[in-house]
This record gives sequence, structure tokens and C-alpha cells, in this order.
Amino acid sequence: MIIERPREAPAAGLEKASVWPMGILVGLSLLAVGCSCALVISASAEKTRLLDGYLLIDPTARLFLLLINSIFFGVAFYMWYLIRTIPQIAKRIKRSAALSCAFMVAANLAILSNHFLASWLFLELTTLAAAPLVIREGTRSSLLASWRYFLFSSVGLALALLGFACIARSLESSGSPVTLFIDQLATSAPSNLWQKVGLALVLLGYGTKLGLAPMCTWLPEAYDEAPPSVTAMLAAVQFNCVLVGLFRVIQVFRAGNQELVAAQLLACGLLSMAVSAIGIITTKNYKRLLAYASINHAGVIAVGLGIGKTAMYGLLLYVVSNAYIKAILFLTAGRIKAHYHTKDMREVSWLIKDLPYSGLLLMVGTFALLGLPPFGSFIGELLILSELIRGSYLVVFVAFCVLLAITFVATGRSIFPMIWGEAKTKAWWPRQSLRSVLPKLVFLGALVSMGLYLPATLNALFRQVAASLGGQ
Amino acid sequence: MTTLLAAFLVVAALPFFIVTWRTALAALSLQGLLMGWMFFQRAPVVSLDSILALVDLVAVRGLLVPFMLYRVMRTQNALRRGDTILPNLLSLMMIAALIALAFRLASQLDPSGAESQTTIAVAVSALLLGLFTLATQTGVFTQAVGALCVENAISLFELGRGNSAPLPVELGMVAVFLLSACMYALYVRWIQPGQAQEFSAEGPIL
Repeated sequence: MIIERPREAPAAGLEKASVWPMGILVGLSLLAVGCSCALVISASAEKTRLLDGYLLIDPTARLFLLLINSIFFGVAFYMWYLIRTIPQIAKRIKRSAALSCAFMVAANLAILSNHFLASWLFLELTTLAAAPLVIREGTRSSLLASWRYFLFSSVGLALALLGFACIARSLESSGSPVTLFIDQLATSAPSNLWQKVGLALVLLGYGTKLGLAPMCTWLPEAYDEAPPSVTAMLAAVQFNCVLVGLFRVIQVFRAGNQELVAAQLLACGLLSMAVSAIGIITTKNYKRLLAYASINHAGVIAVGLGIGKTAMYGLLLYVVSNAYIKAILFLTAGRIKAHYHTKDMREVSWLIKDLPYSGLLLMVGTFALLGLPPFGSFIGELLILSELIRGSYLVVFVAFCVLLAITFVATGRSIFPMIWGEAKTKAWWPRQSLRSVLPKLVFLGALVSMGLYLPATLNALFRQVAASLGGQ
Repeated sequence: MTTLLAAFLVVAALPFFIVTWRTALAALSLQGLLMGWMFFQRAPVVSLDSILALVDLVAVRGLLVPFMLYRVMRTQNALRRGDTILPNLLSLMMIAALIALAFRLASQLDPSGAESQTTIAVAVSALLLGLFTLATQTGVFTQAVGALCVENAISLFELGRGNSAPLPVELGMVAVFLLSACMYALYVRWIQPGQAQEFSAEGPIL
């Protein structure tokens, strides 16, 4: 017997008033995307100071503003679509929209900040806005995950703050003017013991927010428990804001010494990759698997930052690609969970038939996650690997390859049976409308284009940012 | 100021010896008040910066934040010794070792032997004690107290040097600390020990 699968339809009787907060959020995020595009198209390598020098628009800010705002627009559109179709969510949407808006404003300001402490401040504000969003109504486990996210983030950022205080002391002890304005520090940063301690603490603190081992235990739990849209914001937006914070530190302090904190970054990177490989092998929860994959990404990025030089361009491709990959995969995972009511990957199969769009997105997203061509992540990993060989980091190269291979096999072994595996139960789901997957398809388009064809303006921007990080 | 630093160190270690939640909050409060006193001794000149710093140290860290947590614990009728750090020989030895380590580290970082070295040593001691609390405890209240102790240690560390942040940034940092403390109080209120695993059936999510 053939059963007709109905299309998803907007919820009947949903009052107009309940949708407007999310409509405003979508509008604001669209405006932010427009502004970011205008900044990128201006295609200037020069730095522009705003608000008495508190804000700085440079190539790094241009690239990452475009990245986080485009992802946030997609996530906001996804949330707006869900509210239109599921009335129960609309009841508590005002709070979510307000917190998401605060999160986004703080994220934009964190990227634009020209003062280390101001940047730190806005990162803390993104945490304060995101922590309540992690809580799902009615589940204590999400409340505990939110607590651990907030606690680890606060303590990590407190350590980063202490690091900046140590850097200020290093300036004081060397007789340099004590300022933490990024563009003024660039020419006057001395090197001494205080600076080394400060940089190590900043790396530890920001590493905690990025999910770098050993301070990564909060991440799988928070990403698993948070609603999918919030997980996408944490993994693809907040992650990149923190990364920009770390980039700023590297841009300033690496200018005089390319080897600064390189060993710590390599060690943290490889340790994170090892922790993630173990997590991916042992977990049976597909959302948690994606969370462990995020730790793996953080590890690859740390290794890329550690070796620098030509790896920087590849690293940037990898960072931008992975932001889109994580947004696609976490939103898709939410969709799968909503239909199967389980996060156990053994209970999910035949996705490509049951939920064709989600199955396809999970498949393509996993290919990109694993660094297969033609995606930007493939080129990124390739450039990092070639720099490892060129720089004679042979032990790191071997460890990197072994850990990537383990992650590759373990991820494929877990995810692919969900897509093509034989159906365990016969069930018919409502047919997915194109609008429900539109944001993810746009992310996918961006992802593929980065591997196949990068417009000249964007390519120039990537090169400018790579050069500012010491890339060649 | 050295006497005040010694008092700060005693206050930071106090919750490990007198194990009640009220002692932990009193210690937090005293840390803020002592830092306010130290700041006033160091910079008695009245300016916008110094008023903001005093508001942060005395009003926010010394009074408001501990009082907020006190209200939450009172509302929950928390047991006198519930969610506290229970001392044993090993933990006390660890505390002594952490303080010794902090003093050793301070002598490496600032070999001058002046008061600034003692400030660093006491700040690092408080930081390590806060991190020790976070690493060994699972209760929400104790972890919140440990995190606030870390924040206070960083404030003490910053007291020992000149101001490097402009006023708007300082103002923002006080506001963010206050917001964070409010979040800690909310989590202590929300996550009560012994509550059922799930509140109710979960509905659709964003």
C-alpha cells in the first residue's frame, strides 16, 4: 500500500504576534549580512578605526563578519521557519529572539574590537547570552549542560583575562607604554617571562572556549544538549569569534617571533585530535559525534596555527569551510532527532529514503567533514599537511595523519549506516519542504564554491588575513 | 598592605577549614572588602576610575554578590554543611602545597622581593585555591564560589599594577562581572540537589 506523505504546512491559527520577534531577528541578521558584504566588496587592505579607535575594520574583521553573519542569518531563517510550523515553540520565542539578538550583537562587536579587554568583554557577553539558550524546557540534563558550559566558559575567559593582565605587566616591566589597543601594541610588544606566561594563559583560556584539550569536557555535553539552532550558533558563530580573539593575539605577538606559542599550539592540537578520535569511536550518539568532530576541527586549527607560514591560507579555508559544515550538520541532526525521537545512531537508518533532504545534507556534510574533495576543508587540510612536511615536522605529520585516519574511519563507520543502512522500522514521515532546508542548501552552496571557485575578492581577503597571521 | 594581603590569604583558605556555606560566602565578601581597603590605601585620590574600582570591589564583590547567593541559599533552606568542601588530610596538604607553589612562582616572576611579589603570591594562591575547588567539587554552589574566588584573585592581581583599561572598558567589565554573578545565583537556584532527573516531557525545540 502506498501512503501519501503530506507536505509540512504552516501551523493553522498561529497568531501573527508570536512570529514578529523572530521576524525582527531575521531582518536584523539580513541587514548585518548586507553590511558585511558591503565591507568585503570595498576590498581594502587598509585598517579603519572607529569610535575613538575602540573598533577596527581590517581584513580579519571583514572576513569573519561575513562568515558569522551569513551563518546567523541562515540559523535565524531556520528558527523563523520552525516557529511558523510548530506553534508550541512560538510561545517562548520572545526570550529566545532577544537572547539570540544580544548574542549576535556581542559576537559582531567581539570581532570588531580593537582592544583586547573589550574583545574579551564581548566574548563573555556572548557566553552570557548563549548559556540560557542551551536550556531546553523540561529537561534537567540540558540545564546541567548549560551550567557546565557557563562555568567552563567563565573560568576559561577568566584565565584569558589573567593572561592579558600578565601581558600588561610585561609591557610595564619593559618600560613600554601600557596599552591593550591591538593596533598600537603591534609595534611595541616586548618579549619577556611575563609575556610568555600571559600568552600561555590566553591560549589556555581561549582554548577552553574553542574546545581544545585538556579543557574540552564541556563541549560534547553542551553541543549535544542544546537545541540544534543554538548548537549551530555556538559551533559556527561563537567558535569563530573566539578564534578571531586568538588570531588577534597571534597577529600582535607573532610579528616579532614566529615560534611564539607554536609548541603549545601543536601539543594542544594533537591532544585535541586524540581526545576527539576516542570520543568518536566510543559514542553512539550522532549529535555527540558531531561535537567530538568539532574538537577535532579545533585540534587541526591549532596545529595549523602552530606551524604557520603557507599553512595559514589553508587554515583559513579550513576554518570557514568548517563553520558552514558544522551549521549544516547540527541543523540536520536536529531535524533527524525531531523525526526519530532518538539520538542513538543505531536507531536511525535509511535516511536517504525517509528524509531525503536531511539524508543528502548529512551525507554531503559528512564528506566535507571528513575533508574529501571538492570541499574547502580538503584543500585546507592538504595545505596544512604539505607545510608539516616542508617545515620538517615529521613526528607531528605522522601523528596528524594517524589521528585523521582514525577519525575518518570511525566517523564514516558511524554515520554512513544511518544514511544507507537497511530500515529497521517502516515509517512514513511528512515530506520535507524545500523552504525548511533552504538555509542548509545555501550553506552547502558556499561550502562547495570554496572548494571549486573562490571569487577574486574573497580570495584576496583570505590572502590578506593569512598574511596578517604571518602566512606566506 | 602586607597585613591586608596576609588577611586575604587567610580568608581565601578559610572555607577549607570552616566548612559551612555561610563561611564560604563570608570569605567571598571579606575578599572584596579587603581588596577595597587595599585599593583605598594605594590610591586615596578621588577620581572616576577610583570610584568605579571601589564600587566594583566593595559594593559588588564585597556585598552584593555574596548577599545574592546568601538569599538563594536561604530560600532553599540549604543545610549548614550542604554543598561545601569537606576537608581531609590530603586536601589540606594539597592546599598547603598550592600556596607554597604560588609563593615560589611569584618569586620567579617578580624577583624584586618587594610588596608586589607578595601581591602576586597571594593572588596566585587564591587563584589556585579557586581552581582546586572547581576541580574537586561537583556541587553547583561550591563551584560557583570557586569561580568567584578565581575572579577575585584576578582582581587582586590587577590591584598590584597600574590601570591599563580605559574607563568604558572598566565599566563594561564591572557590568559583565555582575551579570555573571547573577547567572551563578540563578543556576544555584535552578539546580537544586536531589531534584528528579527530568522535570517533565520535552516538547519541540528550536
